[in-house]
Amino acid sequence: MSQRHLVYLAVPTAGFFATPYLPFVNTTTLWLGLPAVLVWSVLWTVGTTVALALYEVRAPHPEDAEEEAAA
Amino acid sequence: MSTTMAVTLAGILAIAAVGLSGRRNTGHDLGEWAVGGRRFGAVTMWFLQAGESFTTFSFLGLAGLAFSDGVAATYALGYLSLCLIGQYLTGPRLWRLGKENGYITQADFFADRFNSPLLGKVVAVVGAVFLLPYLQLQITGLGLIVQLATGSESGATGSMILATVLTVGFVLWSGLRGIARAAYFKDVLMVVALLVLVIAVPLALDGGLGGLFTAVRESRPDLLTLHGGGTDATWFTTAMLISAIGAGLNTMPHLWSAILSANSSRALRRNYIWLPLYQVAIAVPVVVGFAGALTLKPGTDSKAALLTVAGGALPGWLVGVVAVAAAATAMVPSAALLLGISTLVSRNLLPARSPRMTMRINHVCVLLASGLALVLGLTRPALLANLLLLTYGGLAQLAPATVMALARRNRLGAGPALLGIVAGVLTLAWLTFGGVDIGTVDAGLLSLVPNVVVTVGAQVLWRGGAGGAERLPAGGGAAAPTRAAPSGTTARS
Repeated sequence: MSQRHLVYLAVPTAGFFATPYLPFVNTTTLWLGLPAVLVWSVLWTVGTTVALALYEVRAPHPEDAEEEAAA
Repeated sequence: MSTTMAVTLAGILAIAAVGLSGRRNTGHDLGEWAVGGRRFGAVTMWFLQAGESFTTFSFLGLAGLAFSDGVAATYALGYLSLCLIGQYLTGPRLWRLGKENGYITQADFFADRFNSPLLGKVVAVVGAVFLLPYLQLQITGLGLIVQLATGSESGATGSMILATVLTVGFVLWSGLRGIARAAYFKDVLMVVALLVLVIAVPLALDGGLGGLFTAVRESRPDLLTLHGGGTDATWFTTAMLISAIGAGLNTMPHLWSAILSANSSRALRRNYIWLPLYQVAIAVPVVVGFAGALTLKPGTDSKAALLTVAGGALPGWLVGVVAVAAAATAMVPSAALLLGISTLVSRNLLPARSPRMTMRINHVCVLLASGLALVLGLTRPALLANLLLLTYGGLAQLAPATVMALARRNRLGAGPALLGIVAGVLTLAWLTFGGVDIGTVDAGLLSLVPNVVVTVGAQVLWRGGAGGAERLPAGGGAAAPTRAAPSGTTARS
């Protein structure tokens, strides 16, 4: 696990936990005709895939080489 | 027989037929039956894990939560995404340990990493006991789905029996490969049903999707925010956190088969990267729940919201398609739960000398667990309700010990780990049934505090008193892992 690259994963995590505490999200205002909390949550769900993909690409995975060597 | 009932029954039969077709004849190898010989690639893993994660709660429960509490239902999007981050970080490590040491169950991991077959057995008992009400929940959920879709109570009972028998059939016949095959079918059905719902339900309302939420803002603005009541910001945050901790660290035993079945840690990681996109589908039942809040009578059973709204917006045969997709959300997770319970028993609690006998015990356990869950579901549906309240938070009490055991060198003794788990589960039971006012804080999360305190305190005393001797007695049983663990608490790799 690359601690330096964990910041990528911290971003969606912070996004989800901030949901009820952000006045512009926890509001009756609609975004694109949908509840702001719902749109925010869907965005961060997609953002989780983006963050994981970034981590996958940028962080080292030395175990892959070990597995390939063992295979 | 109505069109809806005919389509529903045909769909249940089709799910089972697909599951049965997954068999690969490999004799009496529990490893092949339970973890697919550890040969599943990223695509199969994706469907398998997606299929296991989308349960009757995702379909009926979240629509019901949106119906009664609005956007509070979006906590599921948060915890499912966060748990996938946790699984991305921990799953490959679990997989490597499993491959090196021949794990087939979660209890194998505990027995090996703590060098304590007794701890493995305790974890196996806790896992099997807590999963049983979860299994019953899926079976009763299936009955509710058929009853709501068709309006037939006798049809619901018959469907529960039929679906349980068929699920047992394909689990026994095909093992994890059958579940994976059924999961493919289920996920296609889910996409079709969700597309039908997201198109048809707004069309049945004045003003479509935009009109729906404009009307909600005017008539029920409380549903659009997280405010006071039972689902406030504290509930949202703590429920999301404990669910993410529990699932992210794979504390639920039935999740382990899918992880251990991967053919590489890279396949697992790629699977976890793309799974959040599948979870976006959860937004559809949430939207339908909002539609229910506007259109259904006050006092409607929240669990009935989705299928009642669907029944009002769709022709009978399409309601049947939605019901089949919903039934699949019960059958596939039920199959995974049966596999999880039976392998814990046959592998860790009643280990036999021969592979043939192990498989026999395993299969008998599948029959007993499914029979018990079905009979209780039909006759005493509330009997296990209290136990179910403890399932999620109770299994999350395995999290601290799991974290320690994932380390390259496990510094936690089996005794302190066990004491911490017991302290956590007892605290959870006290908070849940003792009439303690904890507001909207999740009881499982609070219970982690005494769990960690007792674990740390016991570890300090254990090391001081025993000079580092950290082994629990073997308890007279055979060790669960295929390969023997090294002596002492220091585990390999």
